[in-house]
Amino acid sequence: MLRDIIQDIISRLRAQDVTDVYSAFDAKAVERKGRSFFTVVGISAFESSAPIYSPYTVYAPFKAEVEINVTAPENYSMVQLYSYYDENISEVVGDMSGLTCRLTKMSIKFDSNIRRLVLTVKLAASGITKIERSSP
Amino acid sequence: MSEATAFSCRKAVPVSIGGITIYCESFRAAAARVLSEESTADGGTVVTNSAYRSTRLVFSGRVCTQGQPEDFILGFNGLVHSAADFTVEYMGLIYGGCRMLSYSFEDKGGEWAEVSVTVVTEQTVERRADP
Repeated sequence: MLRDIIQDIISRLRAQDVTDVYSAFDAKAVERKGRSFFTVVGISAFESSAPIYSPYTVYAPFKAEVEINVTAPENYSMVQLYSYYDENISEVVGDMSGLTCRLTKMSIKFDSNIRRLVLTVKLAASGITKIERSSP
Repeated sequence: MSEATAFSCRKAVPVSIGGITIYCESFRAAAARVLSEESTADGGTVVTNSAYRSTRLVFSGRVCTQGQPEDFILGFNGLVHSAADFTVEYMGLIYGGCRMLSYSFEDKGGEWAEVSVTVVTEQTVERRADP
């Protein structure tokens, strides 16, 4: 379920020609993610509601906090990182915005381990898992 | 058995109420039938009358306080004072013969005002015919 949510966001980013997008679950080392900009999509919180039943489908509503981390190349400034976000990722976030999904927080920090700036974007999102069943 | 997980990207839906368009973020429809019951001499119950009550529709949304939010007050206030009926379309359904019952416009000093409009109709709801 969580992988589906992350893959959904990754597909939206790739559809907007954002390259080097990874899942937080792929456990790929930073060195292998390249020296250029790269984006990691993960989920920092997840909450599921009681399922809703219909004769042939069970609907499981959920709320998730999606975290998108954009890492800049070494020696890049905050302005360059924000510009990359504005030009490549903000449109995807904007397209998703609505009553059930919205941008809640943006923060930027220097990751001393990799010596690169990281922009963290948090989205409050909700959706539904549909489970088909053969009999009522 | 298959399973699919997807985000829902619901957007506010525009609804025209007497010519004034608000972007509806929440909606409630309610209707009821009233039965009159009387006790019989032998301790039983008999239904002496049965009648439906008008359908109530409540549309709620937000209006940005920039622009001309006063137009909503002006328009909705006019509808409260008017006895003329109008048609509302929402969720692919047509609610004919609607009359304005009440509205509220609440500006709490932020960037938007909460708007809630209640209309009533005696007519039955119809599904909009697809073109």
